[in-house]
Amino acid sequence: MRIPCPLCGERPLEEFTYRGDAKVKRPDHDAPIEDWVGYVYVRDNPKGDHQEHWRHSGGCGSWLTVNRNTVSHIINSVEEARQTEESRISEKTQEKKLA
Amino acid sequence: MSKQPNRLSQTVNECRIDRTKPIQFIFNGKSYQGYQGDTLASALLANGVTLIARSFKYHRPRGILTADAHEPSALVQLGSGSKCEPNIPATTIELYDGLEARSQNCWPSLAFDVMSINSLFSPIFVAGFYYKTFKWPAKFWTNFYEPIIRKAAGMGELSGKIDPDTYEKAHDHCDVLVIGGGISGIMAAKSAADSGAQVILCDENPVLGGQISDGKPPLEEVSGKGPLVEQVETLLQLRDMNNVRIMPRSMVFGWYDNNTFGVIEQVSDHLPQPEKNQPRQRMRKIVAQQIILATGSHERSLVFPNNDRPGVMLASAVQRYIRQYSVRPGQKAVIFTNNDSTKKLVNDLNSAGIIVSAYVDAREDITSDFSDIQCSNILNGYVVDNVHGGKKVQAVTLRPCNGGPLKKIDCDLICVSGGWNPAVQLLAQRGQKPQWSENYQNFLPQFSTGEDFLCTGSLAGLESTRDCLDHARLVGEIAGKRISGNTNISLEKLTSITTTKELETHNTGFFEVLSDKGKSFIDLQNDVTRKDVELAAREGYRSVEHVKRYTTLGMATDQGKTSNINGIATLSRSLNKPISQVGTTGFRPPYRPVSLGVLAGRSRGKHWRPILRTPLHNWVYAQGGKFIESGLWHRSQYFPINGETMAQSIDREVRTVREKVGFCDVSTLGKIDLQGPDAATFLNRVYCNGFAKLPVGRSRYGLMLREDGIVFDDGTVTRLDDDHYFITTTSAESCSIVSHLEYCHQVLWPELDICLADVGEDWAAIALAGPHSRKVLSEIVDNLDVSNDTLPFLKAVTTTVLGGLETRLFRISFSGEMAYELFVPSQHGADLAKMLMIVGEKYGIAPYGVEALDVLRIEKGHVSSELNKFTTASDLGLGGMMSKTKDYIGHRLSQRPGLIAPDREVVVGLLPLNPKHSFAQGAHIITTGTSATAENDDGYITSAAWSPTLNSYIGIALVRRGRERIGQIVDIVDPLNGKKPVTAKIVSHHFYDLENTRVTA
Repeated sequence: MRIPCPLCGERPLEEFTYRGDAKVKRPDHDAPIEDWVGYVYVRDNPKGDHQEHWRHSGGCGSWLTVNRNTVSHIINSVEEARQTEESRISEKTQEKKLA
Repeated sequence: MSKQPNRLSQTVNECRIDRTKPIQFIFNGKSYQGYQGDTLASALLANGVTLIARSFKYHRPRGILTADAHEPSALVQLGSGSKCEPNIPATTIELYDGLEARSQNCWPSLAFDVMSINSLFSPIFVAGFYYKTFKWPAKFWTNFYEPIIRKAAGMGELSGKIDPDTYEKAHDHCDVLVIGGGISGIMAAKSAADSGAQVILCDENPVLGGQISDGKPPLEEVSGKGPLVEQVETLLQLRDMNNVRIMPRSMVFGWYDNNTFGVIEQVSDHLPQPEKNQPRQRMRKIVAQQIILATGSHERSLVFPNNDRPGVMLASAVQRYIRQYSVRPGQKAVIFTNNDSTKKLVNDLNSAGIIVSAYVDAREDITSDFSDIQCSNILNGYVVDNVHGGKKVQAVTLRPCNGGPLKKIDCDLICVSGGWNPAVQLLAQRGQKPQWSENYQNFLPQFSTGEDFLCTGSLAGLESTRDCLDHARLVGEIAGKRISGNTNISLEKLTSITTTKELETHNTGFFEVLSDKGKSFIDLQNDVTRKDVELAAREGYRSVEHVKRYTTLGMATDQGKTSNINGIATLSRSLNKPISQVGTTGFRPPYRPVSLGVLAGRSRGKHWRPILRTPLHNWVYAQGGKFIESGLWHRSQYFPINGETMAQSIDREVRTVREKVGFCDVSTLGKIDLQGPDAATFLNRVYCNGFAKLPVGRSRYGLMLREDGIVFDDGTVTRLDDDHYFITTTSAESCSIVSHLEYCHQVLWPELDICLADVGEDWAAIALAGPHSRKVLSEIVDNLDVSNDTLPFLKAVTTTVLGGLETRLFRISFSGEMAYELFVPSQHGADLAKMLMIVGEKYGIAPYGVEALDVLRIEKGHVSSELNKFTTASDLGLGGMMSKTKDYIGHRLSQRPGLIAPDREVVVGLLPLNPKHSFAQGAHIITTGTSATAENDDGYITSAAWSPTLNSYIGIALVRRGRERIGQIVDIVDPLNGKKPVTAKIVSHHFYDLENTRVTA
């Protein structure tokens, strides 16, 4: 498998370290304990598209958000996790403003 | 010198062998002669040796079936001593001088094999025999049944010695990868290369040409301007092209994601000794943009009684032995076929002086034209009803399909062709389900084209050389255009060739002779017969995958390349279901067996993983220091002097630190530079204790949890400036902490304005410890007041030593003594060590290793190995550090009931009642008087050492409700090591300087 790192270009699997589901979000500190247990332990195991975190550990060190199909292994998009998170945060602020 | 009785006199078309280079080799202890270019199989045939091996289960005599790498029968044990390798097909072994091979799975000899008695008991050795028989008692399986069965049914044997050969890995990239160097692959490669694309052409054989062979085409085609001449000319042109790399002896074993291919190149297997610096094999990872599959097809056999006798060979193999190796595989031949591909073989047999006793075509209703066959005895509508002879074919009995008298014909060679199977294995690895073609009577690729691949040649179903060349040329052009950026190319012309050909073809579905005159083998390598498959069907097996596993059909090293389709045909008949519905099994990598050595490459022995050395490594070595592996690091373990034992050296090092001064290389600590306005906020979130108020110029011990509440790591954080921190981690977790902190920063809190850098390799670190450490320090600093007032415990300064050497100096202690950690740029680490030895001499300085370091910290009661991924901060006696006022990683889940339960195992000290009684890490704690059982287990020793300071063995343990049990007497048991229980008292794990006066002095 090869992952196109947005900073380094396409690189082989050996340079990357897998972490897991990128959709789980760290709950607020005062969220119910069930949310925390879900965050740490509970994972979906989807057949098909999956958003996941990889680190380019043998390269630039960036954490990446990789959209990968778990059946075909086709990677549909890769971006720096920082950008994914920043756009999520700005969306959240927008929502709050609208509310 | 022995003659080669079955070697033909020199012919024009002979291309593989070089008669000017005779080669001596040994088979089963006997010396033979062959020629350069021979395989072991062709050389043995040339010498009239046709009995090669004994079969897997029934120990039946076996010969050579194919001329290919997927030979099922002629497996030999190659080489001797540590170079010995089992189960190697004689057809793949290129002959070299001094080659030594022997038959396997026979005792006492190939000709007289005791275990062939199994054949007599064959009625019980049917499919599922082991499953049905060796079921009870369960524990008999590993100790009794399995070893005996393995011995009897085994194949070759491993040498059990370390592989003396070398292997290496290489990485390659290309625009177009062509897999298969037969006629189609050569043409496709040429036409792709003409477009300017970078092309790699891989073939598993030593010479290109596939079924046709390299170099000179067969005699009858040289004169004309036939397709084979075109092929040879193409190949010659291809070799001169700069953008083409031809890789012979390179087997593509796997097609992985994003067009990454695993390829094994047999670099020197064909040489008596590898040349200097040459590996035996090389694994290439090739990444390609466009793939052309020209993997060809495999001829399959037919199923009839005793079809495994030495002398039964595939028709194409006979043809290749004659044409390419000038070998006569027999004297009198019978051809048994169901298709037209065998017609030309008759000419070859005639030209080799082999009498064609009969041309038997199983097809009854064919309109085929036999007039061009030079054989007086053409029998269409006949089948082989039985084969006579044991260790060699002697005759066949033929039976007319529509009844009539049997005919017995003498012969010593049966040339069989059951049709051709496209080599779809690589496509199936990518998830394709090969589709049954009624017209071709074989499984074709489900998809012959894709965005990044194109199939051509007989893999795509094409049967004539002309069609293959035309199709392959087109395929090469399309691949070339795609590389030039033209992605919208119509494949219509391509598919019209293959569809038209398929519609024109009407092969006959004939696979097996239903005669019970003897065993009819489907899978020769695993000894699976027609009856085994029929039995599986009768017993209710329906899925081809289940039948495969139950009967072991196609599960041998050849993965059923010559046998699978016949097995599927038998299953189809037994289940009364068309082959298209039975389907075929899947295929996984590798395409052919791959040696483990080449997968490991150079990562073996001391190179099996990288070695990390500290900047002080050479200095330690020069001092006579010993090293210990710790993760990837080689750390200084102890520094013996004057012939000290390890224990004596450690004792002296510990006493030196306690009484005088010592220093230790701690460069292995992880070191992270953290900067930015939000650095304090960040630290506050990743450590469980508070960092918001850490002043500039101070160090603090920090404890990191995982999000599940378990302790992750500890270390120190030093604030160098308002926005600048220097973090140390344990040596073991340095990489994972960097990754973790980057995750926290990049994913969890990208809004924090900070920057992290792993500076672990930039700084050498030395811990200077002992009552005289301040005096030594004062002699090396340039301009710094080192008194306790200006440099108290946990004070940190950036300064210079030894006349301008940049130093980060922290007053931190792990040993329990007055101590300093000095961080200097890596390249100066050894200089600092040398100077410490000189200036410290008058104070009695000595270096100490990690063993003494460990004893010192156990005496002091600092946790280290207790951070074992099971313990909470509270278990470690550090619960007080956990902030109650902030959110940090691990906070919420650390409060779960299970992690705060009062009966958890917590850290305590253990002091044996007899100070000389030792115990080891991992020993268990039980209440005195109870038996050493899992139910009575109260915890375990996490650290143990001889303490020269306390003059006693001491230990740290995790003990259930340990803090409530201080003062109690327990037993330390270690049944695994066969040690007697040691009676010990539970004490505080702080054995030394409880008031902490020494570190702050």
